[in-house]
Amino acid sequence: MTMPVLSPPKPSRVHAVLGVLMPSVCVLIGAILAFLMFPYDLSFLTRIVIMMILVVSFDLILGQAGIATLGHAAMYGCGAYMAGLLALNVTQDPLLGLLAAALAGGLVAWLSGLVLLRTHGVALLMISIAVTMVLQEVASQARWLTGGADGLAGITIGPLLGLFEFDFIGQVAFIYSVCVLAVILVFCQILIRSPFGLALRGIDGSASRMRAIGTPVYRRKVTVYVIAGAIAGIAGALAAQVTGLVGIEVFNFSLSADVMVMLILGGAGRLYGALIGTLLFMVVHHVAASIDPFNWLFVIGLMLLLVVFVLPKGLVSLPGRVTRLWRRA
Amino acid sequence: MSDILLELNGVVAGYGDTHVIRNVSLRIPKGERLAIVGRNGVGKTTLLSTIMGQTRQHAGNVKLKGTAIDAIAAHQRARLGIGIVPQTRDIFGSLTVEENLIAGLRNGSTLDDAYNLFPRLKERRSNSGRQLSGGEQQMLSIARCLLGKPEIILLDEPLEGLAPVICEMLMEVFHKLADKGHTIVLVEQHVGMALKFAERVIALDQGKIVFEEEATKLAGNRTELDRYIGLSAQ
Repeated sequence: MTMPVLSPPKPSRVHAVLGVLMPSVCVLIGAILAFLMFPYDLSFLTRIVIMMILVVSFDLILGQAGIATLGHAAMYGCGAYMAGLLALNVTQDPLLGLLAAALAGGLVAWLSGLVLLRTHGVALLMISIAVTMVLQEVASQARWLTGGADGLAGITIGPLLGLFEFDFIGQVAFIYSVCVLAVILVFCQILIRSPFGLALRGIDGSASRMRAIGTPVYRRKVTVYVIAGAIAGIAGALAAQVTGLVGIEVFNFSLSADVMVMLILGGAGRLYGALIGTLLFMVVHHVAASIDPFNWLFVIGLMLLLVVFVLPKGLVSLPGRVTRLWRRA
Repeated sequence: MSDILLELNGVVAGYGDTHVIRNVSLRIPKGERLAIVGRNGVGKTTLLSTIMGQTRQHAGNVKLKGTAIDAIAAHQRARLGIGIVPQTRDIFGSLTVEENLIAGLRNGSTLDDAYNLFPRLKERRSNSGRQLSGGEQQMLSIARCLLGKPEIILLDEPLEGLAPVICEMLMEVFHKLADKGHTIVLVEQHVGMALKFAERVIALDQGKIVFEEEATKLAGNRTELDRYIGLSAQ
């Protein structure tokens, strides 16, 4: 055969390392700029960073493995409650709080994933919503533990690494959240480039084919669901630690739906998509809600429609799309 | 010890409550080259899927090396030594050639095993699956299956839609694999090619084995076989 060779050169190890670190580097540069440009909006910026962590975790299950759920708030909420309870009753160390929240989120994801990952489509969506509703009801009824509808208040967190007190302006909280996001991005980049990550994308492409080449599809799905749950738990813990509050609304259905919208806006299957989608959603939400507190959802809805019809792979695919149009022109 | 690698006894299988495969009994010795022929829709693909554990088995049993595998999931059957190259090829379009192969690495196999068999894949290793030609996709599908180190390879119409030169090249590869001791089950519409390759031929009709003969005996007289496979024999 004399077919032309079209293969681009194989990426070197240096390129691979750069590829792993690049999202974190971008986040760190963006965070430094934001820190300098908006020093009085650090609380809002911290919320964006926390949501980025949550959306990145959701990208692992929807974007990589193709598991569509509407119950991601379950793990986020459990992480938040775990961090809050730990700080109130055991230790105020923030990193131990994150660890405990990751375990709580992972445990809930494992227990629920064992059931819901045996289903797919509408059944999967419904069961995932049901899990979150059950947890919300449990949190509401268990007043002695969770504070019921009033939630957990008065959470105080000790100094980070025993050195940095959480300040009123929110500088430490912001830097802390950004560092956690950067570490999680490196972890996720390594994960999705590993054989395990490739298997997830294979499962998304054709689960039956992956089974036929010997991949235990169900086990892989449960594993990634647990990992995503642990990361969602960390996001919940950060929210609890930086606000000092855990309300029952951490289990709200709207949070799960927002997470899905953010990911679709940015582009599922690419970590940059999760970051861009979250940033856009949160900023538009913030600005639109300050202009019209009752109709801000209209703007989000319009934006989502535009993206779905014009850029079905999300905003992250915009540069490639523009380049292709430019070349054609 | 029996040299029967795969055995089906009275297997009835299909999708949901539908029966597509009806009372199929088949013994495939180790190292055999078996061709399965038949018209469209007679259950050839379903038979392979049943061996692989991807259909609902209503009755009968499937044994691999004398051990019943009916209750064993598809991915475990793959790990026990059954490999399948599906008709649809099922290349993961979002992964590169190399990533497709990595997803199939098992039992100590390496990427070089695939690249030695199909050097073309090495040249295309950084291209995504959707950028490959039909022939290259088929090479990738076969290579990915082989990385699981299967003892028996189920090939479902591997030559469908490919240029004659690619078909010949792939047939050479199948011969090489058979010479190395792999047991090969080839489902093929091109009966001529199937007969050249196989030692034994079976024909399916309405989910049943209606004809079974050694390939050498068919060379001179294919009248009876042609009755079951009709125009596809041409």
